[in-house]
Amino acid sequence: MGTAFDFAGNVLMVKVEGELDHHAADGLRESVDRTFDERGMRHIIFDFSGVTMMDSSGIGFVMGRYKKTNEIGGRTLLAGSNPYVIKVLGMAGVFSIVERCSDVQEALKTLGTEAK
Amino acid sequence: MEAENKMVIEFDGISENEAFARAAVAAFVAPMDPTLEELTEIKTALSEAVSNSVIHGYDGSTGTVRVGCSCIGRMVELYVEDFGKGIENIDKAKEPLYTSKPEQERSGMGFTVMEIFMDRLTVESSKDIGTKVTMMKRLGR
Repeated sequence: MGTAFDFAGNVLMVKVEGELDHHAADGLRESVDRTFDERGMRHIIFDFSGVTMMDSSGIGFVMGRYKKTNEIGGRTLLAGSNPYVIKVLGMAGVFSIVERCSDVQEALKTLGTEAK
Repeated sequence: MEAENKMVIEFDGISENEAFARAAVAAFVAPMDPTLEELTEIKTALSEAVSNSVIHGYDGSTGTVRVGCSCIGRMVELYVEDFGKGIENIDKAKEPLYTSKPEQERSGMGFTVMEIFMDRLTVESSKDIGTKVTMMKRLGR
């Protein structure tokens, strides 16, 4: 699994590639949280377009980051993901709280003036 | 008579081996020419069962996980077995969103994912003896 971070003001953008399982989620959680806290971020945009397989560990991971941003008045958005990822996240009703966008640009547009 | 093939692997119940188990089973079923969707569903269901053995069956201690796969015609049968602490209440464990470890950000969706992605799911478990999850899926084409 590969991860790349990018920043736009108070928005942390996380691109994840490969297979997101329990093992990968544990490492990803640690690095995302550390980066988010160190940089004083407020929102997170996940780009899962390169995720080839995701099990329910991904649900816990995304929900956990939603709680983290929500606690400080921020938002978590999902930009780009394949049908398998959508299906697994949808089973747990993740999209009732995490917004789905077609790509990172649309997610940034959705945040609008909240991103600064 | 339908073509038959089977395999069994055993490995340490640590999270690093979840990817190994998926790769091994994916390679084994490849000659049946599953669609990408079928293969992803099998890998995801397997990943759930192996993660359960690592997280709940052994829960920090070490032990062996056994994965067996057999192909009979277009039917794939897969089992994941551990010799850990077992599941006290299987019906409860299978409930969507139920988790015994909410503090670890577990979603409680493992068995639900297995049930949705596979055609059949059977769970046998005994306290302090272990758990065996058996799943079946019929491939199309």
